[in-house]
Amino acid sequence: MTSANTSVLDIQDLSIEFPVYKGAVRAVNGVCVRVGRGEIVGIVGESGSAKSVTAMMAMRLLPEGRFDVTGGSVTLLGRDVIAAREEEMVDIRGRDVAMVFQEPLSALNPTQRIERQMLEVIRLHRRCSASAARALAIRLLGDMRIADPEQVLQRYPFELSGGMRQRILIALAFSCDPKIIIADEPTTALDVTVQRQVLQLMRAKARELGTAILFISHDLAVVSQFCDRVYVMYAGAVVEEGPTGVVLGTPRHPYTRALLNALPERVRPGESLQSIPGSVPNLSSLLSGCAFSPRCEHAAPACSGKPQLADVGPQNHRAACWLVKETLP
Amino acid sequence: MSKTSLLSLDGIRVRFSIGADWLGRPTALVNALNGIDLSVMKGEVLGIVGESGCGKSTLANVLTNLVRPTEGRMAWAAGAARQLQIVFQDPQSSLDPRLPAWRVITEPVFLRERRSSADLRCLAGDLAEQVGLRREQMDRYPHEFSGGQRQRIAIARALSSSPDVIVLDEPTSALDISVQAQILNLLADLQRSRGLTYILISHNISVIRHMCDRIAVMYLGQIVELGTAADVLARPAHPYTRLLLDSVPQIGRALDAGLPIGETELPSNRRLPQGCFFRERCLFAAAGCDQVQALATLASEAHLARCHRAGELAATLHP
Repeated sequence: MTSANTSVLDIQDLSIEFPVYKGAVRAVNGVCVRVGRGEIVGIVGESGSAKSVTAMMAMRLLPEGRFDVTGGSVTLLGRDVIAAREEEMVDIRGRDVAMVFQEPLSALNPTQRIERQMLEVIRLHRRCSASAARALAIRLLGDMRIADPEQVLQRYPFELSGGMRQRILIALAFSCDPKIIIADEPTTALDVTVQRQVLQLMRAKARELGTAILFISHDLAVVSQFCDRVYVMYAGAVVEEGPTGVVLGTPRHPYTRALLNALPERVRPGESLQSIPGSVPNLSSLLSGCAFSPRCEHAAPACSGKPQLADVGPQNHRAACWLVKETLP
Repeated sequence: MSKTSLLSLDGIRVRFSIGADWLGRPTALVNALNGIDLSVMKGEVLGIVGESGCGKSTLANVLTNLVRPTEGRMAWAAGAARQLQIVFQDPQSSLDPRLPAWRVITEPVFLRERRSSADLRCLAGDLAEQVGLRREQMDRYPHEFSGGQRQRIAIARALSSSPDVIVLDEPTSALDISVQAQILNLLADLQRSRGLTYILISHNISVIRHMCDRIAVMYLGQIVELGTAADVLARPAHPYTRLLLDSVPQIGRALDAGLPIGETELPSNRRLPQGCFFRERCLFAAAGCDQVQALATLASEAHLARCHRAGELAATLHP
């Protein structure tokens, strides 16, 4: 499972800067993320943790010329994404790698019927006849438990509900049998009952086809239910990784622990919640040492050096913290 | 919790017209609220949960007089100051970007009383300290604050006119988990120290569970279940409440756990269903569900559900 040749996405030590007036925002600081074949992997973090930037960079969807990769590598299906020509990326986007975004209304063209939009994607990558593409579209929508696919194809996006639109986009993402789907908060805009259904359908389909999913979310509970493995990010770096049940069940990094303890379900109703003091660091100034140390209750002199991910338990459970071996139980 | 009613809603219905023909007559109606009967007790935190489109926000707008009900009335208890304030979901768009923080916070007072600027500034400083901001930050503009700080400003603004009731419309859904914890602690502290009454509208069940004394579950513009937080969350009596509770993601619970899900889309509120509004999606629909359902009391008098099978389903529905 861990050997390099079975991974569909391999991000090694990636650092990205966004130039701004008289300086740069160091958004990503040495991220390592690996997604194996058929594996469902989550990235969880608060706003500003660079989870979306990391996902966008995996498909090189960041605005051309507005960012600098200052280190590391991104390998997607054996291709070097950073060095690849744009035509190569266009070729694999949508076919081998598909993306599902948070807001389904802005991901669909408001002036075209669903049929035209779905057929365009399918025929671009599959080179099949219109009637074959249409049959495939109907089958995909049926798999997403859309009751009347023929009718839905004739609709415009604004005529459909949010849950329906997101199921269409997920159907579209699966249309060309991708090796990996990158889903950036795909259910955040949906209601909980619809979210549960969409997640169930998406996971069943991915398991059936052996598709890997990189799932970006801020919701720890959703990640815990959906993902096999999880990466917890803070200030542009991975602070903890491992199997989802292990990381969220027995977290070792102080940030993961603080995040879980801040959830309302961790205390009895009415008791005071454990919030994390302070705020996320300003990424335009140079960070030295552990980025979480100013807010960490266990901070010690050792924290002025930058910690590396180190094994803290079985099944590749790793955390980036100096104290995790000694003081933290 | 004292039992005196502060504010009562009686048969509130709201219909919006959409589209118009050449004579200006509406071509279609949206039935946003379909008969809401609810009393808000003094000093309680009343939670309102439901999916988008169930009428939660229309209810908030009726309470704040931003929308006039088509039918029904809202009545304050005798002696109440009839003051109500609201904290909105998005602290970015609910604060005027061109006013400094002290003006934002004191605007409700400014509009009513025309006090001197020095007086208002002093009031803003006092309120800022109560919500965890610093007095010297009050000359800054909203864009200079973080999301959590902006929500603190919105809370200070709601407090400034000393209202009886504060409507909290999704106060933490735009915030990160760690900031959400800070804001919920602040709201709970203020409620205790000032004896405030909150109406907390949220789709987040864990926030509702944490904050509320009583919970009203809304579906398609009606209250389908009403009771104490313990009753509604631990012993749900309406099949919809159970569906909602099952769907809330929880750490360590399998995605497929709970009752199976059938048709999950909220039906359109353009043309209301006949009989029970939840019938089409309900796993337990049976004879009699085509009749209009009334909100009826269950085992305890404070626990009500709009389902004629609530009694016989009790054992099946408890998680």
